[in-house]
Amino acid sequence: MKRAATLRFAVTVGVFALLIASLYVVSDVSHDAERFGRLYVGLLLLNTLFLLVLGFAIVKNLYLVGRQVVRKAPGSRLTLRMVLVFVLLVTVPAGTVYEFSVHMLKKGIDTWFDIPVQEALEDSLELSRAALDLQMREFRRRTLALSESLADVSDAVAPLALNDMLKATGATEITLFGADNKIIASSSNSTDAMIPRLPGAQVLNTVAEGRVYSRLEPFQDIGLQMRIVVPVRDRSTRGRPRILQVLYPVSGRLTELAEKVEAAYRDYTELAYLREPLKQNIILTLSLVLLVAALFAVWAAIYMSRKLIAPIRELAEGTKAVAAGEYRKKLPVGRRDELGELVLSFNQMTERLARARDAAERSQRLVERQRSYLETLLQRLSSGVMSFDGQLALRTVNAAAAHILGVSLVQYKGRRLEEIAREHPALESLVRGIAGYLKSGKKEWREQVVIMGPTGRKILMCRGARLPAYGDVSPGYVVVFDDVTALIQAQREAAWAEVARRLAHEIKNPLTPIQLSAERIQRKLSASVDEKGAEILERSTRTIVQQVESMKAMVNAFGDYARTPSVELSLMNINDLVRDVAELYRANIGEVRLELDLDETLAGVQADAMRLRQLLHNLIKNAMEAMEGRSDARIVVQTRNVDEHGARYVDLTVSDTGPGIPEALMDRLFEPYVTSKSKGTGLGLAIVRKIVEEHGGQVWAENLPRGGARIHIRFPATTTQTQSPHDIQPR
Amino acid sequence: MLKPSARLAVLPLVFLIGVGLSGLYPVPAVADSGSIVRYARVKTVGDLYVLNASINLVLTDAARNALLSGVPLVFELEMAIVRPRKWWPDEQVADMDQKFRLSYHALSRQFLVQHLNTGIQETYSRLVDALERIGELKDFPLIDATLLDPGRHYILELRVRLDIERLPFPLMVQGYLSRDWRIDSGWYRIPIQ
Repeated sequence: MKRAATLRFAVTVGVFALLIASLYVVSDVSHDAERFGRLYVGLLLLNTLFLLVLGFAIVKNLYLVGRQVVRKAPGSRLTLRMVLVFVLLVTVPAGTVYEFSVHMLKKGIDTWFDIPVQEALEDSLELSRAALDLQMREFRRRTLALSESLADVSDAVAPLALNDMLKATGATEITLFGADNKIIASSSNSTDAMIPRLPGAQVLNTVAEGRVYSRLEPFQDIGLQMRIVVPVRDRSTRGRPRILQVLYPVSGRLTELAEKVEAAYRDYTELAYLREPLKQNIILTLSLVLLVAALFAVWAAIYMSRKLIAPIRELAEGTKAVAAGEYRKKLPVGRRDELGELVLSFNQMTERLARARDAAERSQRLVERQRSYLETLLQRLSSGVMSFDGQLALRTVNAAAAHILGVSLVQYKGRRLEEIAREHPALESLVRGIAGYLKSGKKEWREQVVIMGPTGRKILMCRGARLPAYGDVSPGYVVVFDDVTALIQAQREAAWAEVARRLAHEIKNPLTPIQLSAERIQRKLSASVDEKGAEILERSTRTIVQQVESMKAMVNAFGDYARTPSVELSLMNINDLVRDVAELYRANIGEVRLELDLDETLAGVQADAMRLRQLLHNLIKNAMEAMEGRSDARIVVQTRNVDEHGARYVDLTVSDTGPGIPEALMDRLFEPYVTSKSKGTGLGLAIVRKIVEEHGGQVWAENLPRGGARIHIRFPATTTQTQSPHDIQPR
Repeated sequence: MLKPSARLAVLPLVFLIGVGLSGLYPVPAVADSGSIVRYARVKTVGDLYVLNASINLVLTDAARNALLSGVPLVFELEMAIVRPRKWWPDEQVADMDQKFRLSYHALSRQFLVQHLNTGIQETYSRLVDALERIGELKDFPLIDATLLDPGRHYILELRVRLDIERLPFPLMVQGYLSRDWRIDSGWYRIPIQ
């Protein structure tokens, strides 16, 4: 490719050199016309043809450059500028030289031809003619004399007479024509000329009419001759006369001079005549040389410009490609000059860029892989994980977190914790629990937080840690939490079960012997004591037996509380249950008023009917016990649907008009053996809480402003729940 | 392959060159000098075909001026016997060229006609006589009758023209390019009986 281009260029230069050489040959006008004439015209045509080809090549190249400029191809404007500069540099001096050459040529050639010279030549020619004329007159006179002498000579003796005349006059040739223009006799001094040099037919005709013809005539072999033709006056014959022609040689010296003048004159006039064509020829040749040279230079300028610009154009294209992110571009290095070095540097640069980019991509892929690995790990974790940045905005959250909290948190990424809590009050307790730690910036902390989510009450074990800043990621916090509700419940149940077992073993077992022993004492001793003693004995024994019985009952009750019955959940309406239980109490409620305030649209609840029944019993009994002896005793059982934080709950409240709950008990109200009453096992509300927790509900107590207390129970509703907690998946 | 636009772009260049050349050598509106073959007859004299012809040879102004300025002119009288063929170029049986050199002798004011084939030179006072001499063929022997197939048809072609190549060197380009220098009777064709 490159070699072919170089070859083509070399061939073009060679052709150019040949043409210039040919024009050089052409310009040498002194050549023999006969030998070079054809060659000359051929060379002119060849040059014109080459001019056409060259012109075509230039137009083509200009067209290509122009098209590139129009397309705004890189480097095209530079090419155009270089071409213009080159063309200007070539054509201006060449044109100037051409103009001067033509001007000087015209003036120069014209000055060669001088009017005085021409006039002088004409005069000398005239002088020659005058000199010859003098001689001619003499010859005419002599010839007329000869014709007189021939008048009486008959045709038969004419040859002899002519021979004599030739010798006498020194003529070259003497010929006598008959009336019919036929040669009668002829005599010549040269031996080789056998045929007489005849005059033209018109000459003979004019002479026959009686006139004399005399003319100077040039001959090839014998030089200048005077041809004198005269009629021969015949006295004997009438009619057309005979004719005598005599050729006289012009005297030697005169001939020489006259011919010299003639030759000089002829050469001069020919040259003078030829000067215009000569000028035109020279100008034509000069124009051709100029055109060939200029067009070749223009072509070479365009060629060289494009060749020079090519690497720059490639560089520009390469730079564009690199700017567009194409680093694989390699430019051909074809030169050993600065441009070549530039291309080389460019190639090195792109190579390095490509390498750097590859490295960056590799490391990014690595990071990506690690990230996705961590992500996978995080998502597979059963513990909920949330991380926050310095402003407590959520940064990451895993699926388990959403599952435990019952809230899809992915869409809250980047939102601040408080904002999320506002939108999801279910998280409020969590936020309240952990925000303090996060804000304090403690390095590590643990906290147990109770939340009431859409799936019920949950105990979360939260562990937090401060994250150090790395790279451009600001420092933040990570919170890991586990749902320990079931675990804690199981622990508590296990503890109470152990207490119950101990009680049964340590307390209940001795009770029977105590009772039996008391009864035996009464039986054995009642006969041996007096009436008063018998009465004391009997009362004490009864007391022992009664207390033992009550103790047994207490232990049994506690056993019941601690025992973990299996809860059988089924969908049910709490209203029905409330009505059932209320019906039972209405019969033997005494003076207490039992009022029901039920929401008829109450949602269903997954619950164990037996346990709920016990719950209601405990609550109503608890309320009645609290109002014992009060006049306006009134119990209100209320059910309500509650919508909170996008989840539905069923609320059950039991209010009384009793003295209310002492503030001191408020915190521990639902723990076993915490009671303000003298009666009862002290397990009533503890069992209530147990049952509520078994159903994933929440229970709390409050004192009413107008006296009395209210136990508030909240169960998660099921019927309206379109989502089961397990369906909540991080998006 | 070139785009049409590029091909078209050559035209102005051709035009320019054409204008340049025509500017150097203006082409007059008149045609050539009007030289024409007046008549030509072929007859047999014994076993020989001979030609009698008269050609009206007329000089253009340029040629006349050149002649009077001392430039010799060479005329070529071309004769050829051809046998026409169908679907094929004519077969040339014989060709005969007669060359005449016409010059002006300023001293004697004579026109010289030199028959270049023989070297014989004749002198004429008047140009028309000299031209008449060149254009006159009297019993010019053409070819021996035995050389021609009697059953075939032959044609004699005849023309006279100025030999541009024998002009002086500076006149040659003009001679080739300009109609001022075209002196040509054109081919005259007569059958040979």
